[in-house]
Amino acid sequence: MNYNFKSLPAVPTAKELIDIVLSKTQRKTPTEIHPQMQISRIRKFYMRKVKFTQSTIEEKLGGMLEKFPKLDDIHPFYADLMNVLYDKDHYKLALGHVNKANHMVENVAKDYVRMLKYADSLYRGKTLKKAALGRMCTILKKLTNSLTYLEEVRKHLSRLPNIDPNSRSLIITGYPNVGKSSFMNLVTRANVEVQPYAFTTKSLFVGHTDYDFIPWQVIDTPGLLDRPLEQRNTVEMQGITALAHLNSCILFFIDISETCTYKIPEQIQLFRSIQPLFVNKPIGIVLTKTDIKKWEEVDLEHRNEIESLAAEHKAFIAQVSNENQDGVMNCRNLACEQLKAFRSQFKSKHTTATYTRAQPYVAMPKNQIEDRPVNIPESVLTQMQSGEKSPFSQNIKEMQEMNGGAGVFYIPPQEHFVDLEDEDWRYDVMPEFFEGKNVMDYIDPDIMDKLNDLEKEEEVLDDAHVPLDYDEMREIYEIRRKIFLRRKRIQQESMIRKGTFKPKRKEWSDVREGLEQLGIDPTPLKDKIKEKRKREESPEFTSNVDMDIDGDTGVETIKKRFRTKSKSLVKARKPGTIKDNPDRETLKHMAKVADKKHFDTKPKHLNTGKSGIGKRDYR
Amino acid sequence: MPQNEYIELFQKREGERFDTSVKKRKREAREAHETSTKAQSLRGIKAKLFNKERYTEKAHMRKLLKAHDGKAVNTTDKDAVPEGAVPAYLLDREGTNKTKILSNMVKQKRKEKAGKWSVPIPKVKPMTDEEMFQVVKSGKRQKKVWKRIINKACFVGENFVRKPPKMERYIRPSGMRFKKAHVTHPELQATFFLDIIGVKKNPQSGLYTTLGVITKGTIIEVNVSDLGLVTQGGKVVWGKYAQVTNNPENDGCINAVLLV
Repeated sequence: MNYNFKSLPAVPTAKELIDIVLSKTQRKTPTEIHPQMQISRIRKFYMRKVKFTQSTIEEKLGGMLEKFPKLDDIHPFYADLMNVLYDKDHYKLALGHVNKANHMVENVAKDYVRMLKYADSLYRGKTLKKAALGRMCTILKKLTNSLTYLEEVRKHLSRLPNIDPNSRSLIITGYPNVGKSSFMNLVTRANVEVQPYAFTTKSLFVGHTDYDFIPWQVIDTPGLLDRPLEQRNTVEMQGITALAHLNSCILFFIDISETCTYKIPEQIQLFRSIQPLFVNKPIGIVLTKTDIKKWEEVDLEHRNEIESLAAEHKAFIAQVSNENQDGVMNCRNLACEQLKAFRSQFKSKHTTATYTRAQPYVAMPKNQIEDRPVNIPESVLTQMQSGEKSPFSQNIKEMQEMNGGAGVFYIPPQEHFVDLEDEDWRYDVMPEFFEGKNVMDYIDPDIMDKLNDLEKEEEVLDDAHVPLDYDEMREIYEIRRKIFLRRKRIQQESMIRKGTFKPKRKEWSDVREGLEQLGIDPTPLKDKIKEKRKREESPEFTSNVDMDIDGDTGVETIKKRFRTKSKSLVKARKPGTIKDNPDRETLKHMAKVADKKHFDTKPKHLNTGKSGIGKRDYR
Repeated sequence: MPQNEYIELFQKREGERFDTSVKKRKREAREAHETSTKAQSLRGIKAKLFNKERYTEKAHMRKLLKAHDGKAVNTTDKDAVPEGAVPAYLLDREGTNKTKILSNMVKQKRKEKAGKWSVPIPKVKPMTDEEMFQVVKSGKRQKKVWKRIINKACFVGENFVRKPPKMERYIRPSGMRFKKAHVTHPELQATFFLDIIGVKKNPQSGLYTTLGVITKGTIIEVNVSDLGLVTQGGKVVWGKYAQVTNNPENDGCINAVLLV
């Protein structure tokens, strides 16, 4: 079982609980209802509200009852501790109160839902719902005190130290101010408050220490005074509970310097009076503050008394000085050893024969080589022998020590560079940007090699080059021209076939040149051509189709808009292939052809059958 | 692992932030402004709740201030304090007027004889049959409409046996039956949860009285044996009349005032 009480959900106050419940009802149930709605619907609406509120309350209170630890179920140590801290009766009463309220709410809901069944109007439903919710809230309001108490308990529970009652533990006990908490701080990392006055520690503290590779919990208890159990206060009782219920090694602290204002015989007397709690547990008597007074300086009488006490209870004696940390670890080790031995003995006595080993079985290889010397590589060995330092690692280490040690210092990235031609370059400053360009973009480690290669290739080509003579060149030219002309012809032929060929209109200058070469005077032709072109470009000529649209402004700026005709994928039907009045089938066929979906407007399956219109409401 | 009073310990060791007190003071100063903005900006149910809370707070404050103001004035009434030495067990008693009780008794007796009651609710709103009864159809073809369900709270005696359901004319559903009532003693100003013995009179009609219908203004007889009332003759009174002051069918409970 897990004894972590931190996960207990917070307990709301009665007022908060009411708010939570009512607002949840408002949020999670429908809110709109009208008097003209069917009465059954109105009833259901209000019944739902009442039931929902009840179930929300049940959820909240039930969760509380479930989550809070039941004193009868938990470990007796915790049960007793809770009794000491919160008073068992009070705790049980509070939980009982919550449980009763839960039942009462349930009954209220049941009654009102029953009454709502006979509600004959919206008003009545509403008033009944209001009354039901009101009564539930009144019941919750009466829980005020119990809920506040439970919240306090929860807060305190969540701050209790997380003690595992079944684990290995060392309990530190003794008079106040004998150095219990200081010892705890030395042995564990608990960081318990230490002050030079009595009862600094007011509750149990737990810390953990590692011994023999297993964790041990160390429990610091408040100081005890020598008085009967009935007179002990809550603070002391916590310690007593821990001593009584936890199977542990008990470290009884005795201040031999007597600076805690209690004399040694008094401390021994305390041991004797609480000794019934130590039965069947390994005990250690820890003599503290040996820095103030040595064990040898203590009265012989007292020494003998302590020794006889230890012998009587089979306890070990350890001398400890928290001030200069003498014997602290020794004391802890002794205690752990004792407890370990005790537990293994206890286990072997109380468990079945199959489980007797305290430790798991460790398999060892059969053919074990006895002599396995350390293997050091040859190079390292020589280096070690010659006493030479590896310059690389040594430098870095020194650098680290100089610059604030591990964690603060980081190895400079320059140290990662390898294969530098010149070692002096290592810490050279290299700009990241040069003239607005990222330097790294222009770095190519192989650039010199590539350049060399290129130059070599060019040289080879230069050597191989022999200039051609005129005839050869002419020949090549002729062949190329032939190829070009042939291509051109093929292209033009295909253009003519497709109808996209347009002979290029010749520029006047070209024409003139040609004519002059032939010895013809070009001037009359020029006039002729000019006239013709003028005619072609004049609006009269271009708008002859649209002339009669605007009769008066015919000569004016009417421009025909030319638009490329969109091409249809469907071939135009040749005229005369369709009848003037095509029958339905043909039309259908035509529709199909024109990739147009033609729906059947009168599907047969919907229009056949015996039933006419309006006989049945289904078909 | 934090344990026990670790927050306090931390504060003890490390102290608080330097600006803690300033922040605290500012937060307190700001609080009034925040509530004011809230009061101005809230709408709907939130505003209603908020205003109610604020009103009660203010009323409490006003009362407290008044109490403080009035503290100086000595308002002890000399007549109320009996003169002379009074034994300790009589210190808190008020001087009861025995003659008045007697005369009350006489008056009550007279009234009882006359059968007239001066009751807390002298007049009630008449109810129609439609409001009182819900018609139930019966018969194979659901044609018969002589059955009625009583829609109001009822008291049904313990030894009541139903007729065979088929013949039952007035159905009193068990969901609407009540056995107990919250009865307030007007003089003691205390309320008790008492058993109902019977319905004495329903002001609406005699039929309802016989059916045991309980509506507002109905006189019921309640068992007051728990109250320990004693008659003039020294007998323990166990039955007393009370008048219903609420609409039980709407509230789901019966509230009544004891007639004394």
